[in-house]
Amino acid sequence: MKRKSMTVGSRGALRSVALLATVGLVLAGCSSSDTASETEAEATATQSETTEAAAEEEVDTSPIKVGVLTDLTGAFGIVGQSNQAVAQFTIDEINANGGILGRPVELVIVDSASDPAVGAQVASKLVNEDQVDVVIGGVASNMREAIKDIIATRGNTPYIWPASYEGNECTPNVWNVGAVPNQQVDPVVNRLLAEGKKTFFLTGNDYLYPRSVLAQVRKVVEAGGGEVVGEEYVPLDITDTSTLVSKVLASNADVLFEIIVLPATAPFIQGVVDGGFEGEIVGTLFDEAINGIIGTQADGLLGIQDYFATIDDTFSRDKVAEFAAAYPDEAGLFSATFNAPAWYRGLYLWKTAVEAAGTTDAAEVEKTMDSASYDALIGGPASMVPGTRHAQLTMYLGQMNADGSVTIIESLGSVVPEQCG
Amino acid sequence: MVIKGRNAAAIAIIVAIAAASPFIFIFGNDYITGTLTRILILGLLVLSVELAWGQTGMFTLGQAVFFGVGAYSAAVVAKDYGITDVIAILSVAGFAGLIIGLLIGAFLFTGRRVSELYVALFTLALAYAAQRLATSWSAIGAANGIPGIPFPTLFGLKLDSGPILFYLALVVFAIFFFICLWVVNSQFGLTMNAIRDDEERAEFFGYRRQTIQVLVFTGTAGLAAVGGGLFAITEGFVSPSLLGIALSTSAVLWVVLGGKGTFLGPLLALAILQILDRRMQDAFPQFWPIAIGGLLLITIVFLPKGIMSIPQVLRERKSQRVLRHSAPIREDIQ
Amino acid sequence: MTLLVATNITKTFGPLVAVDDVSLTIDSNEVVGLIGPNGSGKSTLLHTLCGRTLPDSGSIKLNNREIARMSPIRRARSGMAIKFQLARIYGQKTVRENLLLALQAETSLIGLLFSRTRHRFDSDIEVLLSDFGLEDFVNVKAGELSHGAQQWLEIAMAMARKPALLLLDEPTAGMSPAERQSTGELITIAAQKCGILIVEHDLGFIRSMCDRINVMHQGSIVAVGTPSEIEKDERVKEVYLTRV
Repeated sequence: MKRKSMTVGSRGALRSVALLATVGLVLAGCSSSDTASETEAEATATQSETTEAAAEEEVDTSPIKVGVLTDLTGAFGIVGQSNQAVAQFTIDEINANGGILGRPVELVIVDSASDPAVGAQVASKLVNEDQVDVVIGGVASNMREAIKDIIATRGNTPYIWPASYEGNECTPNVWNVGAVPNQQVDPVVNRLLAEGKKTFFLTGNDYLYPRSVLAQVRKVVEAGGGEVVGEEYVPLDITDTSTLVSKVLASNADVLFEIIVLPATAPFIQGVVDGGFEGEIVGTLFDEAINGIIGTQADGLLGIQDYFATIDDTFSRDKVAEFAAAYPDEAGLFSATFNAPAWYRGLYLWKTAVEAAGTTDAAEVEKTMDSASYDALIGGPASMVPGTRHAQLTMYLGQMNADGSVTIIESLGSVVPEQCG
Repeated sequence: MVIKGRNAAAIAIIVAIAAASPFIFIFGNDYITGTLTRILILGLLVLSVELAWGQTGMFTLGQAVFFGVGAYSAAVVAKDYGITDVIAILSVAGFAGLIIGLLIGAFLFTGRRVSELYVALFTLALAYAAQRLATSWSAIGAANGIPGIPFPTLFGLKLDSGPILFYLALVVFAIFFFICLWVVNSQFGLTMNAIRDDEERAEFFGYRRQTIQVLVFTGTAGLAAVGGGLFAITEGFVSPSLLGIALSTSAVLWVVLGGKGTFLGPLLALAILQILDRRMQDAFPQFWPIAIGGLLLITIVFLPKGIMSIPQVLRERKSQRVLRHSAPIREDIQ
Repeated sequence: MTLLVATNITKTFGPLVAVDDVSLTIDSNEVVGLIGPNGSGKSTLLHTLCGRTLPDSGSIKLNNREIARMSPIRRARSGMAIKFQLARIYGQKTVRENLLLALQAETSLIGLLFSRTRHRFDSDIEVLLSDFGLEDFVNVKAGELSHGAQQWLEIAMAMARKPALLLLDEPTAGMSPAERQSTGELITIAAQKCGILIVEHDLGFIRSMCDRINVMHQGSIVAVGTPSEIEKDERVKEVYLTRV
């Protein structure tokens, strides 16, 4: 019995040693590649020091690294595909025009898989292992919340958040280049109030973005002498919207302001339209990408965005045509709700800031990005409003058509974000 | 017997990690350190599934619920109440897990015997419900979760760098790892196995099956919750996916690949997959998910005890013929 | 002294009356047989006695304590042990661990958790190993034992509980004649320590060792008596023995 126990015991120990060896090997594989990249980084550092010493005779030509973090797979996979293509398109364009500070730009793309826990991991990889100069990305706000500290605070790296969202993101090193509620809400609500439409029904899914946007709607409506006659929130994964549709119809409101996300968008809108709703239907998520899903009932919906395909701007039209030619598979994915204009805008604003700073150093870019401004952008000029970490954007009010296209009703011009003030 | 080997291996692993870690900090970076920290934290979740399912036969497909409960309680305590002491935070997290685990365990196991499938479906539904609740509950950040959780402190010292957080995770992991090992190796552990292998037989011996199952289930819930608490304070954020189906089933996957009931195997599978995962995903984005699926199928079909049974399978194949003839047969009794 | 008194046990499954108003007694140190053809209701009766199913009506008293509505756990703790028809042992565990599992069943959970050694029951294990001829297999996995040895291990585990009453469900099923004989000897030894009920479907094996035999047919006990009385009983011959 004793002998047996000893043999099995040592065999177990042997086995564990073998397993440890395996783990060790894998780890060694990882760290050796890291050592390599670190040596490289050190070499670069030494190089730049010498460059400074040699005073402007030699130029640093090592590539600038841009980290792209988006949901290539999972629930937001399709948005991620669009983001990746837009990032690649933009960087190719920048490189074709001489890069930034005379240095080529290189993308490091990671997949956050629509899961914040994965996002945190890959964000750390971008910042700590690839040592990128900037990170752009994230689709939903929970992704931003999970990665911003790792990138901007712990990692001291600029982070561009390229999406329209609920607002209030004022962390140092974080730059918001998408629309915030007041930019999407104020112009259209004021216009409707002026037209004499005074009663509003508000509805959306029960999470932060719809609640924040609709809170802004309520504020503007009440300030302008209108009245909110109903406010309803439904779960994110709702499929049966019939109860909500009846409430909307029963309210007889002049305006329905809605933020119901996919997959319930289409059945909800169809239900309201087919039910004979007579007021205006407005939303922050209507554009060419969504119209096709809603179908003919999309006819007449009002949407407000930082870009529509039909805006009267030849620069935007040409760029989007170029994009479609370069990325035929993603051609249909260049839309405001997929954040495509915001990605293009964010990368160019950062480029401007780096050029103004003369370096990619985070502390320097933090100063110059504060007032970065650029005109040649898809959707129109944009500029960071100093002290707010948010961008002043050109906004458009569009009316959806049954065929999915959008008719621009009004170019609202540049709208100032009310943030971080 | 096997216990000796298991103990030796366990101590060897912990010592090796501790000894190797300085080299990782010198040659690696915060991403590698972070990955290793995460392995240790998820290791607590994996241990809890191994104890509940691998050792006691309670097929929990919702263990991330407790991980998430721990993570969220830690986040609330640290952020809203400003308590950053790591011992206090982890105690609150663990205690929250124990309470929820006790409620669910009592509901599932105090009545008549329920099938493994029933437990699996119930806990799976629970994970779904928990994630939905967290997604829509605005007090805990709804879909956005809780970001910006402050770094933990220990006796007033701020634990705010990757390597320090790694050692924190290592110490917490080692403590619970040895507690679990000690439980599994005790006579109580033998009883857990008896309930796993044949619940009814155990009852007919007079074992208070319900009490034991509720106790183990509650304990594993607390263990998972401590892991969740550790996740919250080291990663600095929590989000609804932490208590959802995806993480729950991942934990089960690691246990299956590593070898259910082998104690060390699941941890090993977790470590290997976590280290490989990001790199393989980046290198072979199309191929890697398929490879993982294939690996799982191969394991289920050929290695019912996961990677831990590879040496055993090889050994048995070699000595199969011998075994067949030397199987003990009792001819008579004197 | 009377150990078990089962009175007017009835158990129905829908329209089927599996056990119909049956009464049965077992004395201390008595070996009682329960025989009957397949479908006679003897298995159902055994299940109501051990607690696997609850009877619709009737009373079961073990040492004057009413146990008819008790769970198997409480019955086990009141002194009842069972060996199932197909050996229910822990195949992945060693013989020693199996015996330990039986021996420690009533140890407090705290006690189990804090037992640093597994040696508290060593002497009991030694005795059981030698009583049941399993000394050579102490560290063999139970699942690797021969068919007969698995049955003996389960009886050993049942006896480890030091029961007042041992229920044996077809203890010799599938055994060779030599194994049967050994089993018989084991049961005879066990009978010195407790009352035993053996359920079998043929008379051959138990006639030599039972003090009394109950014959079941269509849910009722049709005859009770010593083996020789039963062999002579005309009704038993008619309903049962002729079919063998």
